[in-house]
Amino acid sequence: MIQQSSIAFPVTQTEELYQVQLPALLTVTEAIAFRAKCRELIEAKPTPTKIILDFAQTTFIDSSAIGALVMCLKAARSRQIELVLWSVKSEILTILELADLGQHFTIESKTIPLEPHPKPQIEATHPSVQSKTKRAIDIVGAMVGLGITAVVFIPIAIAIKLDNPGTILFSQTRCGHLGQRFQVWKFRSMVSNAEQLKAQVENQNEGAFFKNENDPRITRVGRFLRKTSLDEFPQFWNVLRGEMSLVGTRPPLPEEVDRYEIANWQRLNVKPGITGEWQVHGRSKIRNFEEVIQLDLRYQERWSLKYDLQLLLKTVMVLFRKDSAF
Amino acid sequence: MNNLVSTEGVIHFDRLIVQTDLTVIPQILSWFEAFQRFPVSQVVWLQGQIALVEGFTNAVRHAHAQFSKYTPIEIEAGIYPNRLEIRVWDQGSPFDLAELIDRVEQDYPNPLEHEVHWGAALFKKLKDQHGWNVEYSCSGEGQNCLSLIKFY
Repeated sequence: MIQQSSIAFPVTQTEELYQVQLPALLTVTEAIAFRAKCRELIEAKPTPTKIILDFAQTTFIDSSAIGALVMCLKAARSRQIELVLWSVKSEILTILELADLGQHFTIESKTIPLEPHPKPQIEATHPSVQSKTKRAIDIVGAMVGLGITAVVFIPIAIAIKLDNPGTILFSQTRCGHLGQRFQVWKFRSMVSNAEQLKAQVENQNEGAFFKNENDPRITRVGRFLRKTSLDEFPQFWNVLRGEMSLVGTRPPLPEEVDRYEIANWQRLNVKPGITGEWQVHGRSKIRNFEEVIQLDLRYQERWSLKYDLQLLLKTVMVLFRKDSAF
Repeated sequence: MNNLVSTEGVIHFDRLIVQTDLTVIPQILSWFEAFQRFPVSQVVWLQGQIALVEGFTNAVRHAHAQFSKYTPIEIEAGIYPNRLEIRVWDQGSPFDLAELIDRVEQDYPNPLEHEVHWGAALFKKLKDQHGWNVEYSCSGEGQNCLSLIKFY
Protein backbone atom coordinates (compact mmCIF):
# COMPACT_ATOMS: atom_id res chain seq x y z
CA MET A 1 0.00 0.00 0.00
CA ILE A 2 2.67 2.44 -0.97
CA GLN A 3 1.09 5.49 -2.47
CA GLN A 4 3.19 6.47 -5.36
CA SER A 5 3.59 10.20 -5.42
CA SER A 6 3.37 11.92 -8.75
CA ILE A 7 6.95 13.10 -8.43
CA ALA A 8 8.84 13.69 -11.63
CA PHE A 9 12.56 13.15 -12.05
CA PRO A 10 13.68 15.78 -14.56
CA VAL A 11 16.40 14.40 -16.83
CA THR A 12 18.93 16.41 -18.80
CA GLN A 13 20.63 14.54 -21.58
CA THR A 14 23.76 15.36 -23.54
CA GLU A 15 24.87 12.63 -25.91
CA GLU A 16 25.45 9.55 -23.77
CA LEU A 17 25.31 11.31 -20.46
CA TYR A 18 22.19 11.61 -18.35
CA GLN A 19 21.70 13.90 -15.40
CA VAL A 20 18.77 13.15 -13.11
CA GLN A 21 17.60 15.81 -10.72
CA LEU A 22 16.46 14.23 -7.46
CA PRO A 23 13.71 15.69 -5.26
CA ALA A 24 14.15 17.31 -1.83
CA LEU A 25 13.08 14.13 -0.07
CA LEU A 26 13.86 10.74 -1.52
CA THR A 27 11.83 8.32 0.58
CA VAL A 28 9.53 5.32 0.33
CA THR A 29 6.92 7.38 -1.53
CA GLU A 30 9.38 8.35 -4.26
CA ALA A 31 11.44 5.15 -4.32
CA ILE A 32 9.34 3.16 -6.79
CA ALA A 33 9.28 5.98 -9.33
CA PHE A 34 13.00 6.48 -8.74
CA ARG A 35 13.77 2.80 -9.35
CA ALA A 36 11.70 2.88 -12.53
CA LYS A 37 13.50 5.99 -13.77
CA CYS A 38 16.92 4.46 -13.08
CA ARG A 39 15.98 1.27 -14.88
CA GLU A 40 14.68 3.25 -17.85
CA LEU A 41 17.96 5.20 -18.18
CA ILE A 42 20.17 2.15 -17.65
CA GLU A 43 18.31 0.23 -20.34
CA ALA A 44 18.16 3.16 -22.75
CA LYS A 45 19.55 2.71 -26.26
CA PRO A 46 22.25 3.61 -27.01
CA THR A 47 23.57 2.63 -23.58
CA PRO A 48 24.62 5.76 -21.69
CA THR A 49 28.24 6.02 -20.57
CA LYS A 50 27.46 7.99 -17.44
CA ILE A 51 24.44 8.65 -15.26
CA ILE A 52 24.62 11.53 -12.82
CA LEU A 53 22.28 11.63 -9.86
CA ASP A 54 22.03 15.25 -8.83
CA PHE A 55 21.44 15.49 -5.08
CA ALA A 56 21.70 19.30 -4.96
CA GLN A 57 18.11 19.66 -3.70
CA THR A 58 18.02 16.53 -1.57
CA THR A 59 18.05 16.87 2.20
CA PHE A 60 16.79 13.44 3.30
CA ILE A 61 16.85 9.84 2.08
CA ASP A 62 15.41 6.80 3.85
CA SER A 63 16.04 3.04 3.73
CA SER A 64 13.86 2.59 0.63
CA ALA A 65 15.93 5.16 -1.21
CA ILE A 66 19.11 3.40 -0.08
CA GLY A 67 17.76 0.12 -1.47
CA ALA A 68 16.92 1.85 -4.75
CA LEU A 69 20.37 3.45 -4.96
CA VAL A 70 22.03 0.07 -4.41
CA MET A 71 19.85 -1.48 -7.12
CA CYS A 72 20.75 1.36 -9.46
CA LEU A 73 24.48 1.05 -8.76
CA LYS A 74 24.45 -2.72 -9.35
CA ALA A 75 22.49 -2.43 -12.59
CA ALA A 76 24.73 0.38 -13.85
CA ARG A 77 27.89 -1.56 -13.06
CA SER A 78 26.65 -4.65 -14.84
CA ARG A 79 26.43 -2.57 -18.02
CA GLN A 80 29.66 -0.65 -17.48
CA ILE A 81 27.78 2.60 -16.95
CA GLU A 82 29.45 5.08 -14.64
CA LEU A 83 27.13 6.19 -11.85
CA VAL A 84 28.02 9.40 -10.07
CA LEU A 85 26.31 11.20 -7.20
CA TRP A 86 26.58 14.97 -7.44
CA SER A 87 26.36 17.72 -4.82
CA VAL A 88 25.63 15.38 -1.95
CA LYS A 89 24.92 17.33 1.24
CA SER A 90 26.53 16.27 4.50
CA GLU A 91 23.17 15.02 5.84
CA ILE A 92 22.90 12.56 2.98
CA LEU A 93 26.55 11.55 3.29
CA THR A 94 25.94 10.79 6.96
CA ILE A 95 23.10 8.44 6.03
CA LEU A 96 25.18 6.74 3.31
CA GLU A 97 28.03 6.30 5.78
CA LEU A 98 25.62 4.91 8.37
CA ALA A 99 24.68 2.27 5.79
CA ASP A 100 28.41 1.62 5.12
CA LEU A 101 27.84 2.66 1.52
CA GLY A 102 29.92 5.84 1.40
CA GLN A 103 32.88 4.01 -0.12
CA HIS A 104 30.83 2.27 -2.78
CA PHE A 105 29.51 5.31 -4.59
CA THR A 106 31.43 7.82 -6.67
CA ILE A 107 30.61 11.15 -5.10
CA GLU A 108 31.55 14.41 -6.77
CA SER A 109 31.14 17.70 -5.05
CA LYS A 110 30.15 20.09 -7.78
CA THR A 111 26.97 20.24 -9.75
CA ILE A 112 26.71 22.48 -12.77
CA PRO A 113 24.19 24.82 -11.18
CA LEU A 114 20.66 24.29 -12.41
CA GLU A 115 19.47 27.37 -10.56
CA PRO A 116 21.33 30.68 -10.43
CA HIS A 117 22.79 30.23 -6.96
CA PRO A 118 22.47 27.02 -5.02
CA LYS A 119 22.61 27.86 -1.33
CA PRO A 120 26.20 27.39 -0.15
CA GLN A 121 25.15 26.68 3.45
CA ILE A 122 26.25 23.06 3.49
CA GLU A 123 29.41 22.05 1.72
CA ALA A 124 29.75 18.82 -0.16
CA THR A 125 32.71 16.48 0.22
CA HIS A 126 35.88 18.37 1.05
CA PRO A 127 38.34 18.45 -1.92
CA SER A 128 41.07 16.81 0.21
CA VAL A 129 38.97 13.64 0.47
CA GLN A 130 38.54 13.51 -3.29
CA SER A 131 42.13 14.26 -4.28
CA LYS A 132 43.65 11.20 -5.94
CA THR A 133 47.13 12.72 -5.61
CA LYS A 134 46.71 13.07 -1.84
CA ARG A 135 45.64 9.43 -1.68
CA ALA A 136 48.65 8.40 -3.79
CA ILE A 137 51.01 10.31 -1.47
CA ASP A 138 49.31 8.61 1.48
CA ILE A 139 49.83 5.15 0.00
CA VAL A 140 53.50 5.75 -0.78
CA GLY A 141 54.09 7.43 2.59
CA ALA A 142 52.29 4.61 4.43
CA MET A 143 54.42 1.97 2.75
CA VAL A 144 57.62 3.81 3.63
CA GLY A 145 56.31 4.32 7.18
CA LEU A 146 55.36 0.66 7.56
CA GLY A 147 58.79 -0.30 6.28
CA ILE A 148 60.41 1.75 9.05
CA THR A 149 57.91 0.34 11.55
CA ALA A 150 58.92 -3.19 10.55
CA VAL A 151 62.57 -2.40 11.23
CA VAL A 152 61.98 -0.88 14.68
CA PHE A 153 59.19 -3.27 15.65
CA ILE A 154 61.22 -5.99 17.37
CA PRO A 155 63.39 -3.77 19.63
CA ILE A 156 60.34 -1.68 20.58
CA ALA A 157 58.27 -4.80 21.24
CA ILE A 158 60.93 -6.21 23.55
CA ALA A 159 61.28 -2.88 25.39
CA ILE A 160 57.51 -2.57 25.89
CA LYS A 161 57.21 -6.15 27.17
CA LEU A 162 60.14 -5.82 29.56
CA ASP A 163 58.94 -2.50 30.98
CA ASN A 164 55.31 -3.48 31.53
CA PRO A 165 53.85 -6.85 30.54
CA GLY A 166 50.88 -6.74 28.20
CA THR A 167 50.15 -6.15 24.56
CA ILE A 168 52.66 -4.49 22.21
CA LEU A 169 50.09 -2.58 20.23
CA PHE A 170 47.19 -0.57 21.52
CA SER A 171 44.01 0.09 19.59
CA GLN A 172 41.30 2.59 20.23
CA THR A 173 38.09 3.53 18.44
CA ARG A 174 38.31 6.92 16.75
CA CYS A 175 36.01 8.80 14.42
CA GLY A 176 37.16 9.41 10.88
CA HIS A 177 35.70 11.07 7.83
CA LEU A 178 32.05 11.94 8.57
CA GLY A 179 32.26 10.28 11.93
CA GLN A 180 32.84 6.80 10.59
CA ARG A 181 34.45 4.72 13.30
CA PHE A 182 37.72 2.88 12.92
CA GLN A 183 40.40 1.32 15.12
CA VAL A 184 43.53 3.43 15.41
CA TRP A 185 46.75 1.51 16.16
CA LYS A 186 49.70 2.69 18.25
CA PHE A 187 52.51 1.15 20.23
CA ARG A 188 51.27 0.82 23.81
CA SER A 189 52.73 3.59 25.94
CA MET A 190 50.62 3.16 29.07
CA VAL A 191 50.25 0.43 31.67
CA SER A 192 47.99 -2.46 30.62
CA ASN A 193 45.04 -1.43 32.81
CA ALA A 194 45.17 2.26 31.81
CA GLU A 195 41.46 2.51 30.92
CA GLN A 196 40.41 1.36 34.40
CA LEU A 197 42.73 3.92 35.96
CA LYS A 198 41.47 6.75 33.77
CA ALA A 199 38.97 8.07 36.30
CA GLN A 200 41.70 8.48 38.89
CA VAL A 201 43.82 10.72 36.71
CA GLU A 202 42.98 14.35 36.99
CA ASN A 203 41.76 15.77 33.71
CA GLN A 204 43.83 18.83 32.93
CA ASN A 205 42.11 19.68 29.70
CA GLU A 206 39.31 22.12 29.33
CA GLY A 207 36.37 21.06 27.21
CA ALA A 208 35.79 17.73 25.63
CA PHE A 209 39.06 15.87 25.45
CA PHE A 210 41.28 13.84 27.66
CA LYS A 211 44.99 14.40 27.95
CA ASN A 212 47.19 14.75 30.99
CA GLU A 213 50.82 15.78 30.79
CA ASN A 214 52.06 13.97 33.87
CA ASP A 215 49.78 11.03 33.50
CA PRO A 216 51.17 8.40 35.91
CA ARG A 217 49.84 5.62 33.70
CA ILE A 218 52.50 6.29 31.05
CA THR A 219 55.34 3.78 31.28
CA ARG A 220 59.02 4.70 31.03
CA VAL A 221 59.32 3.16 27.60
CA GLY A 222 56.00 4.80 26.74
CA ARG A 223 57.38 8.20 27.65
CA PHE A 224 60.28 7.65 25.29
CA LEU A 225 58.01 6.40 22.51
CA ARG A 226 55.79 9.46 22.88
CA LYS A 227 58.67 11.89 23.00
CA THR A 228 60.08 10.47 19.79
CA SER A 229 56.60 9.95 18.33
CA LEU A 230 57.55 6.33 17.63
CA ASP A 231 54.27 5.31 19.27
CA GLU A 232 52.41 6.80 16.30
CA PHE A 233 54.11 4.64 13.67
CA PRO A 234 51.56 1.80 13.53
CA GLN A 235 49.07 4.42 12.30
CA PHE A 236 50.65 4.08 8.86
CA TRP A 237 48.51 0.95 8.70
CA ASN A 238 45.39 3.15 9.14
CA VAL A 239 46.70 5.42 6.38
CA LEU A 240 47.23 2.49 4.02
CA ARG A 241 43.67 1.34 4.71
CA GLY A 242 42.39 4.80 3.81
CA GLU A 243 40.89 5.46 7.25
CA MET A 244 43.44 8.18 7.88
CA SER A 245 45.72 10.38 5.86
CA LEU A 246 49.31 11.42 6.52
CA VAL A 247 48.11 14.97 7.10
CA GLY A 248 44.67 15.83 8.40
CA THR A 249 42.73 16.73 11.51
CA ARG A 250 43.15 15.15 14.92
CA PRO A 251 41.17 11.89 15.07
CA PRO A 252 38.61 12.39 17.86
CA LEU A 253 37.22 9.78 20.24
CA PRO A 254 33.56 8.81 19.77
CA GLU A 255 32.71 10.38 23.15
CA GLU A 256 34.16 13.68 21.98
CA VAL A 257 32.11 13.64 18.79
CA ASP A 258 28.94 12.88 20.68
CA ARG A 259 29.57 16.01 22.71
CA TYR A 260 30.18 18.22 19.69
CA GLU A 261 27.95 21.11 19.03
CA ILE A 262 26.68 21.44 15.51
CA ALA A 263 29.42 23.85 14.40
CA ASN A 264 32.13 21.43 15.51
CA TRP A 265 30.76 18.66 13.34
CA GLN A 266 32.47 20.31 10.37
CA ARG A 267 35.76 18.95 11.67
CA LEU A 268 34.81 15.55 10.35
CA ASN A 269 34.56 16.72 6.73
CA VAL A 270 38.15 15.64 6.11
CA LYS A 271 40.07 12.50 6.96
CA PRO A 272 42.00 12.53 10.22
CA GLY A 273 45.78 12.60 9.91
CA ILE A 274 48.83 11.22 11.66
CA THR A 275 50.02 14.79 11.70
CA GLY A 276 48.36 18.13 11.13
CA GLU A 277 48.05 21.67 12.38
CA TRP A 278 47.82 20.61 16.02
CA GLN A 279 51.13 18.73 15.84
CA VAL A 280 53.00 21.51 14.09
CA HIS A 281 51.40 24.60 15.58
CA GLY A 282 50.84 23.53 19.13
CA ARG A 283 51.30 19.88 19.88
CA SER A 284 50.43 19.07 23.48
CA LYS A 285 50.74 22.67 24.61
CA ILE A 286 47.18 23.17 23.49
CA ARG A 287 44.85 22.47 26.36
CA ASN A 288 41.65 23.92 25.11
CA PHE A 289 39.28 21.86 23.00
CA GLU A 290 38.12 24.95 21.13
CA GLU A 291 41.67 25.66 19.99
CA VAL A 292 41.94 22.20 18.49
CA ILE A 293 38.69 22.70 16.63
CA GLN A 294 39.92 26.04 15.33
CA LEU A 295 43.14 24.49 14.08
CA ASP A 296 41.16 21.74 12.37
CA LEU A 297 38.89 24.22 10.65
CA ARG A 298 41.87 26.32 9.61
CA TYR A 299 43.36 23.23 7.96
CA GLN A 300 40.16 22.68 5.99
CA GLU A 301 40.16 26.26 4.78
CA ARG A 302 43.80 26.31 3.75
CA TRP A 303 44.07 22.81 2.39
CA SER A 304 46.06 22.24 -0.78
CA LEU A 305 48.61 19.59 -1.72
CA LYS A 306 51.36 22.15 -1.15
CA TYR A 307 50.00 22.93 2.30
CA ASP A 308 49.99 19.21 3.14
CA LEU A 309 53.62 18.89 2.10
CA GLN A 310 54.55 21.96 4.17
CA LEU A 311 52.89 20.45 7.24
CA LEU A 312 54.71 17.16 6.63
CA LEU A 313 58.06 18.95 6.45
CA LYS A 314 57.29 21.00 9.56
CA THR A 315 56.33 17.80 11.40
CA VAL A 316 59.71 16.28 10.64
CA MET A 317 61.40 19.47 11.85
CA VAL A 318 59.34 19.53 15.05
CA LEU A 319 60.27 15.91 15.71
CA PHE A 320 63.94 16.82 15.69
CA ARG A 321 63.47 19.75 18.01
CA LYS A 322 63.74 19.00 21.70
CA ASP A 323 60.52 20.24 23.23
CA SER A 324 58.35 18.52 20.71
CA ALA A 325 56.14 16.18 22.70
CA PHE A 326 56.05 16.65 26.43
CA MET B 1 -2.62 6.01 24.61
CA ASN B 2 -0.10 4.79 27.09
CA ASN B 3 1.52 7.80 28.67
CA LEU B 4 3.35 6.18 31.55
CA VAL B 5 6.73 7.35 30.29
CA SER B 6 8.25 9.80 32.72
CA THR B 7 9.28 13.15 31.32
CA GLU B 8 11.10 14.39 34.38
CA GLY B 9 13.99 16.77 33.66
CA VAL B 10 12.95 17.18 30.04
CA ILE B 11 14.40 20.10 28.07
CA HIS B 12 12.11 19.86 25.08
CA PHE B 13 9.24 17.47 24.52
CA ASP B 14 6.60 17.24 21.84
CA ARG B 15 4.06 14.81 20.50
CA LEU B 16 2.64 14.41 17.02
CA ILE B 17 -0.31 12.26 16.01
CA VAL B 18 -0.46 11.32 12.36
CA GLN B 19 -2.48 9.02 10.14
CA THR B 20 -1.35 5.72 8.68
CA ASP B 21 -0.17 7.46 5.54
CA LEU B 22 3.32 7.63 4.09
CA THR B 23 2.71 11.04 2.57
CA VAL B 24 3.05 12.63 6.03
CA ILE B 25 6.82 12.00 6.10
CA PRO B 26 7.58 15.66 5.16
CA GLN B 27 5.36 16.77 8.07
CA ILE B 28 7.22 14.45 10.48
CA LEU B 29 10.58 15.75 9.24
CA SER B 30 9.60 19.35 9.74
CA TRP B 31 8.18 18.55 13.20
CA PHE B 32 11.48 16.91 14.17
CA GLU B 33 13.47 20.02 13.18
CA ALA B 34 12.61 21.52 16.56
CA PHE B 35 14.82 18.84 18.14
CA GLN B 36 17.92 20.11 16.38
CA ARG B 37 19.16 22.02 19.39
CA PHE B 38 21.56 21.86 22.29
CA PRO B 39 22.57 19.42 23.81
CA VAL B 40 21.73 17.19 20.84
CA SER B 41 24.70 17.16 18.46
CA GLN B 42 24.19 17.36 14.71
CA VAL B 43 25.15 13.73 14.25
CA VAL B 44 22.83 12.43 16.96
CA TRP B 45 20.02 14.53 15.53
CA LEU B 46 20.61 13.17 12.02
CA GLN B 47 20.66 9.62 13.38
CA GLY B 48 17.43 10.33 15.28
CA GLN B 49 15.84 11.71 12.14
CA ILE B 50 16.49 8.60 10.06
CA ALA B 51 15.51 6.29 12.97
CA LEU B 52 12.24 8.16 13.45
CA VAL B 53 11.31 7.96 9.77
CA GLU B 54 12.20 4.27 9.64
CA GLY B 55 10.09 3.65 12.74
CA PHE B 56 7.13 5.48 11.25
CA THR B 57 7.48 3.76 7.86
CA ASN B 58 7.58 0.35 9.56
CA ALA B 59 4.40 1.20 11.45
CA VAL B 60 2.60 2.15 8.22
CA ARG B 61 3.93 -0.60 5.96
CA HIS B 62 4.00 -3.49 8.41
CA ALA B 63 2.21 -2.96 11.73
CA HIS B 64 -0.72 -1.10 10.15
CA ALA B 65 -0.58 -2.81 6.76
CA GLN B 66 -4.17 -4.06 7.06
CA PHE B 67 -5.49 -0.99 8.85
CA SER B 68 -7.41 1.99 7.59
CA LYS B 69 -5.58 5.16 6.76
CA TYR B 70 -7.33 6.82 9.70
CA THR B 71 -5.61 4.65 12.30
CA PRO B 72 -3.49 7.05 14.35
CA ILE B 73 0.24 6.66 14.88
CA GLU B 74 1.58 8.59 17.83
CA ILE B 75 5.08 9.97 17.78
CA GLU B 76 6.83 11.62 20.68
CA ALA B 77 10.33 12.86 21.26
CA GLY B 78 12.11 14.37 24.22
CA ILE B 79 15.47 15.99 24.76
CA TYR B 80 16.89 15.33 28.23
CA PRO B 81 20.17 16.59 29.67
CA ASN B 82 21.79 13.21 29.00
CA ARG B 83 19.75 11.62 26.19
CA LEU B 84 17.45 11.95 23.22
CA GLU B 85 14.35 9.77 23.30
CA ILE B 86 12.03 9.03 20.41
CA ARG B 87 8.94 6.84 20.59
CA VAL B 88 6.58 5.59 17.90
CA TRP B 89 3.33 3.96 19.02
CA ASP B 90 1.37 1.70 16.70
CA GLN B 91 -1.60 -0.63 17.11
CA GLY B 92 -0.53 -3.63 15.04
CA SER B 93 -0.03 -7.24 16.06
CA PRO B 94 3.09 -8.11 18.06
CA PHE B 95 6.27 -8.43 16.04
CA ASP B 96 9.81 -9.50 16.96
CA LEU B 97 11.86 -6.57 15.65
CA ALA B 98 14.95 -7.59 17.63
CA GLU B 99 15.05 -10.92 15.79
CA LEU B 100 14.80 -9.21 12.38
CA ILE B 101 17.53 -6.74 13.33
CA ASP B 102 19.83 -9.57 14.40
CA ARG B 103 19.18 -11.57 11.27
CA VAL B 104 19.62 -8.82 8.74
CA GLU B 105 23.41 -8.59 8.81
CA GLN B 106 23.88 -12.34 8.36
CA ASP B 107 21.50 -12.28 5.43
CA TYR B 108 23.33 -9.49 3.63
CA PRO B 109 27.05 -9.55 4.38
CA ASN B 110 27.74 -7.54 1.22
CA PRO B 111 25.99 -4.15 1.19
CA LEU B 112 25.78 -4.18 -2.60
CA GLU B 113 23.73 -7.40 -2.59
CA HIS B 114 21.33 -5.75 -0.24
CA GLU B 115 18.32 -4.18 -1.89
CA VAL B 116 15.61 -4.68 0.74
CA HIS B 117 15.37 -4.57 4.57
CA TRP B 118 17.65 -1.56 4.80
CA GLY B 119 15.41 -0.23 7.57
CA ALA B 120 16.36 -3.09 9.90
CA ALA B 121 20.00 -2.77 8.78
CA LEU B 122 20.02 0.91 9.77
CA PHE B 123 18.58 0.07 13.20
CA LYS B 124 21.28 -2.58 13.58
CA LYS B 125 24.03 -0.10 12.76
CA LEU B 126 22.59 2.59 15.04
CA LYS B 127 22.46 0.00 17.81
CA ASP B 128 25.86 -1.64 17.33
CA GLN B 129 28.01 1.20 16.04
CA HIS B 130 26.43 4.35 17.42
CA GLY B 131 25.15 3.33 20.85
CA TRP B 132 21.43 3.69 20.22
CA ASN B 133 19.04 1.69 22.32
CA VAL B 134 16.40 0.24 19.98
CA GLU B 135 13.48 -1.61 21.55
CA TYR B 136 10.11 -2.62 20.25
CA SER B 137 7.80 -3.62 23.04
CA CYS B 138 4.45 -5.17 22.34
CA SER B 139 1.80 -5.13 25.03
CA GLY B 140 -0.29 -7.77 23.29
CA GLU B 141 -3.29 -5.47 23.60
CA GLY B 142 -2.82 -3.79 20.28
CA GLN B 143 -0.38 -1.24 21.60
CA ASN B 144 3.24 -1.42 20.49
CA CYS B 145 5.98 1.02 21.26
CA LEU B 146 9.21 1.45 19.33
CA SER B 147 11.58 3.29 21.61
CA LEU B 148 14.79 4.81 20.29
CA ILE B 149 17.09 6.22 22.96
CA LYS B 150 20.53 7.71 22.60
CA PHE B 151 22.59 8.73 25.65
CA TYR B 152 25.03 11.46 24.62
